[in-house]
Amino acid sequence: MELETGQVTVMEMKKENVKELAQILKTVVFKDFGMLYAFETGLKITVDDGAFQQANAFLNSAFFSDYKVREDRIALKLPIKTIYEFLSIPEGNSNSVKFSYSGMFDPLKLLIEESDGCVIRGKFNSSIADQELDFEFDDSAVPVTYLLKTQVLKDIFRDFDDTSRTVKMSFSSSVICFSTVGEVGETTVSIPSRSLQMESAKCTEEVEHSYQLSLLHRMNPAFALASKLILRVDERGVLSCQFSIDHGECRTSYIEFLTVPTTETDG
Amino acid sequence: MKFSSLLQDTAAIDVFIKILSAASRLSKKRCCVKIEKEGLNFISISGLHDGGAWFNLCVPYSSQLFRKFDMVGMNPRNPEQNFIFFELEIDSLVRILPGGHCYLKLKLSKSQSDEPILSVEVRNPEADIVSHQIPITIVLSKYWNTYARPTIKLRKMCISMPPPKAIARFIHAFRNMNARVVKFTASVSGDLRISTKIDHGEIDASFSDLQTSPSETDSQEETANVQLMIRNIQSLFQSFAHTRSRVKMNIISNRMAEFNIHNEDCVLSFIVGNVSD
Repeated sequence: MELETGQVTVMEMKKENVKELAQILKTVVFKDFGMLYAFETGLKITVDDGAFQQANAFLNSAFFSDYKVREDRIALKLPIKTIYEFLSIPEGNSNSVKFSYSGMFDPLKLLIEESDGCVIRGKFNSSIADQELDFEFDDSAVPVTYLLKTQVLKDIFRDFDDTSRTVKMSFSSSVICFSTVGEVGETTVSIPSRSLQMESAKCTEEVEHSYQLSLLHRMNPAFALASKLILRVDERGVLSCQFSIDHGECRTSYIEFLTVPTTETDG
Repeated sequence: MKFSSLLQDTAAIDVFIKILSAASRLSKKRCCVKIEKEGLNFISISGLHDGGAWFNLCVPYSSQLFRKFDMVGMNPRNPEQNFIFFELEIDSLVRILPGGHCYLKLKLSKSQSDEPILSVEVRNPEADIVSHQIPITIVLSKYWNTYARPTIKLRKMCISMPPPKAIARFIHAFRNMNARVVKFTASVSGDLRISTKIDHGEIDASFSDLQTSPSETDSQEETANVQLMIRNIQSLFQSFAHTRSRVKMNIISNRMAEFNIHNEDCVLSFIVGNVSD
């Protein structure tokens, strides 16, 4: 039932501790709008810039205290940055947010209840989801796969030389190297596969690709929140970073970033 | 005319600097200072007529921030005229007080070229006294009325507000969503709604069980509404977000709103006009 009018909803869910949701949303809101897909098993939130990068947040139905999806193929385009601002309003952990959507591109309705009795309502216009970018990441043709801790890697990414437009990454089974060329000169940071930060490394061929620094910086909030990362590169150099965020009690959410490499002409 | 004051101690100086910063954020550039026997007031120069706000930020002597506070007004024999009014660029005062001072003295004085100034002596621990001179413009008594509180003849509804920190969070979020106006709706039963419309939706927050003041409410209505520009009130709540202050709001439906913020160090009265859609 819809929150207040008694209308039947097409989906509704409730999340305790709004901050947990706000933090996840923060990692993918690099654009004002994004797509929300609702499945029986959970939600997928997708944001892309139309050409170079796409981020996906996967929230399992277990992430929510209450989760009902009554239709197939729910796909909405929403002002996710504004929704993130809305979810950042409450402080502390003793609060909850209810979502409800009645279908037919009605607004998405949110209701936050705080422990002190304050009630915050939000209505956000929805529209038809845009065509999603398909990176055609072929899981069967992945020459490079690393499982890493984010602890040190997040500082490495955050501290890349800002005056370098791109970061060159070279992958081998013994080491990953990140190089930048900027005003200070050339800087290279390496993580050997025997490092404690590297949990596993699989590399069938040595490859080297460059990525735009501005695109890599969009992953900084994900690095800050996640504990582990699976870094893969496919045959065309598309970089896939899958971050896992541990909420305790065996609940995990995932954020995935797909980034295209720069070509010779872009550099 | 004479004015000489000394702040109590390091903690009092820190509080005073925060009050100065609040006055600076509320003012456009210049600010009026009114000195009376009971304390110091920062008053806005602009009024409601140009879409702005009027405020009076009072630092009473009873706040115990001052160790010494001596003043002799323009016309000391007449208690109605025992004040000093001057204007200054408030930012000049804020800039010379970055913080961490253990001594602060404020005095009215004259510069070498016989111009009126506010003399500021400040000292950091383990350092020497540094003196500053801030140019001021003394205001003659015939102009004192220009800084007077706008009279609110119309009827109002009075309601206590949630803590300034909570309101500051809403205003901040609304601003980030590119909202321009915020609407306040209060009811006699103690409900307050703060709402806004944005490009892609609308938000509203409801608070209940707030204290209304039947003695101060003289409008006969069940609910009172007022719509304000967010940019006019954002600095107001931000400046007091980290203080333990009581906030009361008077709403004159569709005309104006008055916020009265009280804490142990200062009292702020802030009046701002309604904006229509």
